[in-house]
Amino acid sequence: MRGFVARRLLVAIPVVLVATFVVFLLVSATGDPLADIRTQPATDPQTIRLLEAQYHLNDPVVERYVYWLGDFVQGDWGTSFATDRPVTDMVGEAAWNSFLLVGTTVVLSVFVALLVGIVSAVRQRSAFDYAATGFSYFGFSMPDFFFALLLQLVLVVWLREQFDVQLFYVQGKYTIGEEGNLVNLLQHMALPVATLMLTTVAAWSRYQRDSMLDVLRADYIRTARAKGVPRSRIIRHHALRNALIPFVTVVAIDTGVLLGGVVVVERIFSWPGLGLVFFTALERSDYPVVLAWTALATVFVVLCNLGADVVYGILDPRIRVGRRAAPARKSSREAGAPEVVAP
Amino acid sequence: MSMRIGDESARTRAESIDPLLVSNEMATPEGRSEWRRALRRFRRHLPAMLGVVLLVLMAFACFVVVRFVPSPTKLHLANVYAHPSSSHWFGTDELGRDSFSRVLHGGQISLRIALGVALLSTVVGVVIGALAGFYGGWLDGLLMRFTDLWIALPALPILALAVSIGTVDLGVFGGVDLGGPLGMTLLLSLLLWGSIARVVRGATLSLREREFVDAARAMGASNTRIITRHVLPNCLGPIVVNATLVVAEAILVETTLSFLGFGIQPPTPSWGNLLSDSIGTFEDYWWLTVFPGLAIFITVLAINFVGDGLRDAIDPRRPVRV
Amino acid sequence: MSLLEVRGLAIAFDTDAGARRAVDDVTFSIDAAERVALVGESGSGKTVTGLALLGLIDLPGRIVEGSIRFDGRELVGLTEREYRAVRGREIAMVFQDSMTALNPSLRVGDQVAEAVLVHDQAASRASASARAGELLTLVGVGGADDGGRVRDYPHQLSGGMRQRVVLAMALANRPRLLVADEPTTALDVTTQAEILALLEQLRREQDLALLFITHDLGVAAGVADRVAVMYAGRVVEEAAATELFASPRHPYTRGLLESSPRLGTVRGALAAIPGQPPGLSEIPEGCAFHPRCGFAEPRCAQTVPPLEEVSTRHTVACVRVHELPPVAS
Repeated sequence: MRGFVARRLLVAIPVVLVATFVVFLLVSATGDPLADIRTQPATDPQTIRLLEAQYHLNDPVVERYVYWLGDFVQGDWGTSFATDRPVTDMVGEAAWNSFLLVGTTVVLSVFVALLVGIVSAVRQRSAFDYAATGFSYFGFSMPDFFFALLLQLVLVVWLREQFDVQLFYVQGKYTIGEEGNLVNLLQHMALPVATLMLTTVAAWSRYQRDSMLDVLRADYIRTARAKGVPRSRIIRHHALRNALIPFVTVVAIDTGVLLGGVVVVERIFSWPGLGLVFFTALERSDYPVVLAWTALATVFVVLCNLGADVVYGILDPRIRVGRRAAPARKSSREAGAPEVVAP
Repeated sequence: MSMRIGDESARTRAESIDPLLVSNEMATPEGRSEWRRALRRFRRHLPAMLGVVLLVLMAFACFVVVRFVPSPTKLHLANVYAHPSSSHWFGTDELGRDSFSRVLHGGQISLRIALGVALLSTVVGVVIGALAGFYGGWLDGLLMRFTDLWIALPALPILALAVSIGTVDLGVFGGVDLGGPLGMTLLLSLLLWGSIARVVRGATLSLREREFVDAARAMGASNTRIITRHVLPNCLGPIVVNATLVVAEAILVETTLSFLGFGIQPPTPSWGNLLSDSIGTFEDYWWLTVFPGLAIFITVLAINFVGDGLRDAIDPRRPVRV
Repeated sequence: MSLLEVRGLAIAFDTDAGARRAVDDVTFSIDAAERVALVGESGSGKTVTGLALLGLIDLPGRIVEGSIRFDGRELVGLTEREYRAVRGREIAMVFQDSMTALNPSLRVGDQVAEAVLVHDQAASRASASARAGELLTLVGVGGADDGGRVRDYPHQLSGGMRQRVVLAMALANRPRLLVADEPTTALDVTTQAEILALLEQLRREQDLALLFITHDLGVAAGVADRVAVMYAGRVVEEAAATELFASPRHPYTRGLLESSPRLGTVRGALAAIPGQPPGLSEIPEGCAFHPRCGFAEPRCAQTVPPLEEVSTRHTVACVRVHELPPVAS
């Protein structure tokens, strides 16, 4: 188990390095960070030379990357060009706000998706199952920015015009003057979270359903039935236990992926999170922020993947107390039910 | 949306195709009749046939009907924000441009990009997957681990960053605007090959143990020949299914990027930028939001229907019929 | 009276092309402590027949005709709840692949204990565990006290060990009939022999009747008193094991015997039966075997031949059974 995690970690490090280097290349390709200063006629050439030296702008890109990486690892993420504030402060605040959205989404989605997935599998081909399937198609096919706009159109505009009520807000985290009011916060969170949940619930409920169905078809389920075990106990004790392993793994991985989804939603709802920070920085060519942001996002994704591996290792006894080498989780498919069924 | 790049949707689906099983069914030299059976199952799959019809209609509208509608950039300032009517089916926008025409032109661009991405990313995915599966060992471990994390990267921000570089010199291609249709196609292809690589790897792994591959090897066939002549044709089914799902992904990602302002730039219409143009006014002029949004939704839904139909057709073990 | 009496059993599966009978008009009986082998190729309906005895036929399959009487009691039509009391307690089943027959995420001791618990509401967890230990010792896996494998997970055991666990689970409630579906097919030859010996030893000790399902005539000859041969969902010949192997009457049985190598018999090339057994949706009219049969006549394609007694307790379903040349042996 420990070796298993160590091996995973060993592969993860080069991936982080490659990904951040690519981002570094991209950022340096977007142009000269001093362009604005250079074109100002009043700028002293001496100042420009100083700045060039300070930012190592005349060094090869690989060297610059190494400088940046060294600083980044030591917690020096630089100062924002646009706001002159340390990047760590800007990212720190935003990270908490994004976490609020992502965390709420993950918790609620897991709850709903498990329920829907299990019931759909156990009552396969029931009206409920068909409805859940229809919803999944809807969730898979709906662009979330369009869904967010529709939610606003119906739950905000229409409600306001027809009944003159304001249940939900579509801008920011609090109404001005209401900072700290929990109800107000929830009214602001509801629509962004609902938008994020559309995709996660569609995907995770489907995943849980399929993995549950796979398990229910497994030979050991038949063995249990042949023993005379009641159906309810088979579902709880035999099927769910095995079907949850891939589900938890996928949730862990997708939580990393959600970081990408939250970018769009924050932009639409002006939610003061990481996504908003990123786009503002990108539009202002605020490269220290962009760099730190992408590096963090990559690390987060890799950590989520690693978390998925660890969780998988803990839940699956074949890895936890394995006498043989752990099966390589080459894809979440293989982390999935089929492998549990037929090792 | 970018979650779809990380694609639980594609992941959930790709996973359910078991390359081992499919190859057992389809990969045998006597697989021809199995293909015919798969085709019959596909024809009986109601949502899939509905999807095919919707896609044909959509393609017809975007590539044929589009020639008979007013120019998408023709201004008509006396007739701004016209409601949908018989003369302007989808109404007009703030400059009096015909919204129907703009949706069709936008669709043409989105569909072209999506198809291009499906082709290119399939090529990339097949090469990587076949290499990993066929040679195995450390190469396999490295490539697949890389694929795992590549798929999970927060693609939208990275794409937005890449697009903001602007025009780059790509040698043979000349200068390519990364925010333009060609640039978007290349960028998206670089990001969406993961699921195909996984499927091809899985199928290759199981196929390379099969007798007919041994037989080919015994006859002195080179590895390249074995892969292209024996292995790939035999995992065509899963490749096609995943390529279909990549089309859906590509549409969603491209429209999202354009919506965020990092894709196709106005005045060239695209489904994404049409929606973002409408944001400020959507409370009053709903048609500018709803029609492009529905166009995306219906197209992606149709592709998902077809993809599921294909998957069920080649993998009849799944008893799930919608 | 027989312990188990199956009469005219027919099981249909809904396929793309409509309902098809995977098992049709199957009749056989098993006496208390008797050993019967059901032999056939894959797809002949032997496993489905075995599952039907435990009421484990799931949609799209269902029993459409016939009766299964166990100890005088009709089992077809029992509710799920009623059947549960039969499974594992009266009739137990051992499956082919020990690798997949055990739940990978539960300890083997707990899986055996569960078999005890579901049929004995009064048993405590502790007593069930103790009983599981005894059972595992009995099958040679070892209990908790003697350094056994009670707390191991299935993946930590070898294939033979796992099959012993499966056996322990099946015998937990001292059933009267054990249905063993190819219990040794997945094992290597040495382990196969060990498991068969263990099965026979336990069967004797517990006075157990056995329905042994296999595609391997050699194994059937070793374990069974009587053998029923199935082809395309029907029993084509049934006889005492010794008689069947000495004088098989049905052309299919004869083909099978001629195509299997036997120790001590020096022969030329093994004769294979031409063609493939039919799939579920392509079972021929008349005698299902006639397209592959060397003795077929036009009338063979007309009607399904009934099982006919050719000598005491030896039945054959072939219209030409009395015209066929005797087996040269």
